[in-house]
Amino acid sequence: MSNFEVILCIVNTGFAELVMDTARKLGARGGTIINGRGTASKEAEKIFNITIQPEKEIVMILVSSEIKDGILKGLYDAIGVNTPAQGIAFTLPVDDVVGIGSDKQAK
Amino acid sequence: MANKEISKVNPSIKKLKLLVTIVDRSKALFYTDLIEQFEVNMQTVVYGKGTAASEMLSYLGLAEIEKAVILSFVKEDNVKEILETLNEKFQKVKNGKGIAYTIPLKSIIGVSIYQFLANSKVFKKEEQSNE
Repeated sequence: MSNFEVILCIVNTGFAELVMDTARKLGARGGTIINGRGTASKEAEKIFNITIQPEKEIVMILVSSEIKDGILKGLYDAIGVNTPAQGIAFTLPVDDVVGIGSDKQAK
Repeated sequence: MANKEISKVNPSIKKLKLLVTIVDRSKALFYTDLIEQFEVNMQTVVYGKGTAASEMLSYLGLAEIEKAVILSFVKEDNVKEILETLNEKFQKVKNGKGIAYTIPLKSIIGVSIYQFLANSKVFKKEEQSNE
């Protein structure tokens, strides 16, 4: 029974596919995309008296702990803050997983 | 610091976990109803998109790409039972395939919020003011 972690990756809208392509290349099997809205630039909104609603996509990928580091590194290079995707990625510990076969995951 | 010790101080305080269940959108209501039976008072459904590769889709029976992500607060004691039930449904229900996992919660603020989420009334009035 391998341990799992969930990678949460927040990128600008349109880059979720790139996230999944990168992650899949490095061993992930599938993910779920959720739409979100970033709220980072409050000061800029005030200064320029405009409303910015940066649309974001959150990609959740459940992976085994062994391949997690590789995927995070890959994501940092592919969709990191220095790329147009301006993505961040982090993992959360996951305790119990059902519905994803650990034997299939190993391959 | 304090919340690390709190389950030792009062053993009736159970840890909470966030249960994440990813299923087909059409089955969201079915699964929220199912989870609700386990003393779960609050659940949130977020709509998402599945991204499993197409050749994988048929293999896993994840034909539908529109997904629902169900977030539920569950008591640690109930996790095993809930996941076993979910796993059974994942395998038996038609188009009911999904993934479920739990994330441990580190901290929570508000006694009444805890009581609501944990479906417990373990605190007495005096203790509430201390919290």
